[in-house]
Amino acid sequence: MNFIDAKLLWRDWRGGQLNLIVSALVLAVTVVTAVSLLADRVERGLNAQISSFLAADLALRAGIDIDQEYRLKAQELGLEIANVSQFASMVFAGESNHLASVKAVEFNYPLRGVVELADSLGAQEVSKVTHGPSQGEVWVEARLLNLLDAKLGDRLEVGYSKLTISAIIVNEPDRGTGFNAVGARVIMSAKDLADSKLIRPGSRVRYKLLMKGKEEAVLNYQAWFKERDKLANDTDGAPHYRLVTPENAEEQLADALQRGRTFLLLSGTIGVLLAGLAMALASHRYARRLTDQVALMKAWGQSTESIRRSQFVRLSLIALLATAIGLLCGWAAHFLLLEVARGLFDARLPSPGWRPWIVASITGVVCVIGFALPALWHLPTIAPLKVLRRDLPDSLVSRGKQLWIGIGALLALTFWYSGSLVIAILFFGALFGLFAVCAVVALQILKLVRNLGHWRGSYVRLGLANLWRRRGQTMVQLVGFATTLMLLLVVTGMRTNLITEWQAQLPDNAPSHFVFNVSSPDVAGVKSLFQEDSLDTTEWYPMVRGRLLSINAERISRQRLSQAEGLSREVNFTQASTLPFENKIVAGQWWGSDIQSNEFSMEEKVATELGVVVGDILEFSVGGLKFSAVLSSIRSVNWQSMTPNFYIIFRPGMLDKYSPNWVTSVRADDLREQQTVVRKQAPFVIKMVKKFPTVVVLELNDVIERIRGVIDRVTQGLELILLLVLACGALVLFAAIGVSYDERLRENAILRTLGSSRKIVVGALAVEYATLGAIAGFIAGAGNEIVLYFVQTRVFDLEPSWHPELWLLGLISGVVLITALGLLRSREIITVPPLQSLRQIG
Amino acid sequence: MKQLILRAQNITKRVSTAEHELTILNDVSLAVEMGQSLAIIGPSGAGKSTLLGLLAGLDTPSEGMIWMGDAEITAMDEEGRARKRAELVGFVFQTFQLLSSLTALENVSLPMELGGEKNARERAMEYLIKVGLGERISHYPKQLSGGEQQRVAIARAFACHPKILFADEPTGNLDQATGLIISDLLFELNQQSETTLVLVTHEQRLAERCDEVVIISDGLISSQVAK
Repeated sequence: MNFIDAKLLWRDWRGGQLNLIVSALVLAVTVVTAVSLLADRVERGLNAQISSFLAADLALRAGIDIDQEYRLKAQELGLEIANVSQFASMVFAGESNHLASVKAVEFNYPLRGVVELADSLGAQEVSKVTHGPSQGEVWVEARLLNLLDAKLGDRLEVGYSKLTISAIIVNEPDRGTGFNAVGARVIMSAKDLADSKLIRPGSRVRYKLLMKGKEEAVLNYQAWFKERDKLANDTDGAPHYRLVTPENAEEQLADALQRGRTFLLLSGTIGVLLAGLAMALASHRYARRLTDQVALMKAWGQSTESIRRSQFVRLSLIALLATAIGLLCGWAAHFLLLEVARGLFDARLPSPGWRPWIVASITGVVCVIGFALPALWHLPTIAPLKVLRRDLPDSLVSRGKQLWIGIGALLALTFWYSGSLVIAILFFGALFGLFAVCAVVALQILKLVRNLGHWRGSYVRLGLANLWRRRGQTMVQLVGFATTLMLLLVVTGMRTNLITEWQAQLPDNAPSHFVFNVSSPDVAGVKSLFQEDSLDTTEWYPMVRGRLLSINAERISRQRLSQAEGLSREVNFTQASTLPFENKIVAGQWWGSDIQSNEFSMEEKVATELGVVVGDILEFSVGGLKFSAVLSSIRSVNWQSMTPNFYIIFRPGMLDKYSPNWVTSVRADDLREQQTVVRKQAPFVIKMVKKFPTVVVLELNDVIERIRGVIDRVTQGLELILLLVLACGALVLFAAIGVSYDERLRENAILRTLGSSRKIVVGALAVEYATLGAIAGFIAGAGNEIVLYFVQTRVFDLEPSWHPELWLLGLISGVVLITALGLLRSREIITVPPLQSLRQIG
Repeated sequence: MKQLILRAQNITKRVSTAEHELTILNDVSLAVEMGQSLAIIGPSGAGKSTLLGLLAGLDTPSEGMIWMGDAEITAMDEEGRARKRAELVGFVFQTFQLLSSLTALENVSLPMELGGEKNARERAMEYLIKVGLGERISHYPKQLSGGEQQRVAIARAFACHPKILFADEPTGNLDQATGLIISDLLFELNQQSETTLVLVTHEQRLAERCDEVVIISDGLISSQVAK
């Protein structure tokens, strides 16, 4: 590298010609680094858990008690086994209770990995054990102690058993994906399970058979299961059993994570796009500044090749330095994102790998090649004669070509981020569609605004005329800002408004608690308990778990089942004599009391996905027993009604023999009230669970708060990314002003020379920027309203409502932001004396 | 007779416009001896700057030949001409052509730095002192008056020790008094460094200070006067 190139670069930087290019590049790399680092660390955190994810070499999972056949085969192959059952249950310590996630394990659990335990809340050290709790003991998560105000050594009531809390769980191997949405973990001994009487016929339990052994035995078991499963698939529909290996566990997670990472990077791509736009505009200006320099250098005898080389070195240095700074800033920014997302992940996240750094660095290089290079490409070919004849045309890369190169670079990046050309093209289609709509709206508003200037004061006229005259640049700025502001408003709107609006629109009598897992003998007792407290329940429904096997005597393939999300696994069936609340028949008719044939009703979305019509005969399996029924009606269901809803309802009497458990919902709280931090529990819950320990009470307020918490974190994270994107938008504004900077400098110098006061010059600029901001804010507000309308009506099934506060927020932030930034960028235009301005431009 | 450093033989320059072909220079021949000063004068649009550009090897004629020293530059490609310019030529322009992001000192030292000169900074300093701007070396062009900017440009041109200096209307953008000072400086440095000077001007007084004056009119040499 020639030292002179670095010197030239330093001088350009010092002259302020590179600020924008470097800032844009730094921001683009920062955005990509931050989101890739976040995605990578979360991914690694979860992957690290997978290795001990199973607590075994193989795990057989089932929604029903595992058939002895599966255990015997394992033992025959010489595999060690351990049985695990998992279910939700209320647990008590004194008067406090909590809906915990209980795991009953045998003493040899875990077969692989360790359980990390602590002996006090403030413990510095954890002990790692490779066995489960002894009989009479229970291990709990620390948060349960806080929730129940209990301590080690206290007694915990789990069902009918009273167990001693002997340790705090710090980590368990088969914790799951780490997204902890359910209750606090309690691990008890399987030997206490019978005494607790928590598992009854019909109870919702997830069973796991853990297996460990020699590789060959493990492979043999897998092969045997596959054969067995194939056989089952020929006769059965949705599977009861699933064999989880470390590989397929990883596959599923990798798939989910890939989608998450793609989503994050795509939001980052908007930032890269805006930064790229800013870079292209700034490079254009930089190229104009360099034209004289290059012409002079050529007149002094520099060859085209040496100038090309010098340009390459300079751009490489820019890319290198800006990328390095961007990587550092991104590293810092990802900590902010992690801070916001804290609580979504349980585990301490491991250090990132090399991929995010490579992704971000290549983004930097691609940005330089895609956005800066095309504007500078012609420079080495400038004719030396240009020193004498400045009017000589340059062989510029055409605007159209520059645009295509830029789009190509972005498309390549998006393709690389998402790993799918279809996603990349769709994303771009959507983005450019959005830009096009924004541009059309912006142009119409600009036309309207232009006419306003005719009857306003001189600086208003001047400012508005400027907007129209430079409408190309105005549009670029408008589209960039309006889109970013709109995305920010949408995210803010979702965070602050949607849940509250949804709560406010709940009917007066919306139930607040779901009560399920009520066994048939307990129903009368539970009902009388409600009567004592004068609580109204909705309809009571019996519930059994079952599967779909065939349609019109044709075996249903798993592939076809997987298309109907609602039925792809075991689901809850019920029977009812009357059409449930807020269900409507859309085809066929509801049964009368006289007909005694086997018939059932199906939810319309599932019916469409399965492609079944009224009159079809479907075969089902419940607890291994098979029966057929005619589809006699298809229903639409209001899933927001807060009452028990079912995909499949049978005619009364059909499920009687399958020992169902019962479900209902009850109104004991007002869901529409925002909860205070310390929430009172409905009095019936304590009585209910003390008297009927197998009954599970789900508090909807709890669920709403949990959803609110997740939405809060996710949207705050997105807001942070979008703020970085907004900073890219600010750079576009800076760069666009830069393009017309000399022209503005000259015009304002002439105005000042002709006697215009500084007030008029500043006023005109302020009007120009404020109008720009107001239009951007207006488009953002309108776009936000449209998006929220669809979210309200389609996603949340709400009555649409206006969001005047978001319109106002959009307008104010648009005006304030753009005016402040615009005036900041134009301060030289305002403050430099006219003569100096004219001399500066030459 | 002194050695010829620049020679043009029967050069013609034509440019195509949308409608027709325009002949800017028509069959022009001239020769400049080493150390001599030559003024090219004539009305606007006569072809003066075009001739300067051709003689300096910045452009190529449609017909005819040009020699710079012993080398025929019209037979070279742009890279060859660039090497010749780097070896022999310096420039002073009407619009000064200083780089706005560089200080006076950096503007003067830049061509030497590009040529790989080791003591570029010292020589730049020396020439800035010679043109009377020793106190202004760290000033940027926008902080200098027109006359001062042209002095920096002259220092830049002479600091490279060119054999031939091409000056295109060097006083064209300056008032009369400043123009006089600049032309004094130009001739003084020219004598000191024994450079060949080819200057285009429409100022009679400036032209009269040269050893030879060529008057161009309608693309033809209408008169050639040697003192």
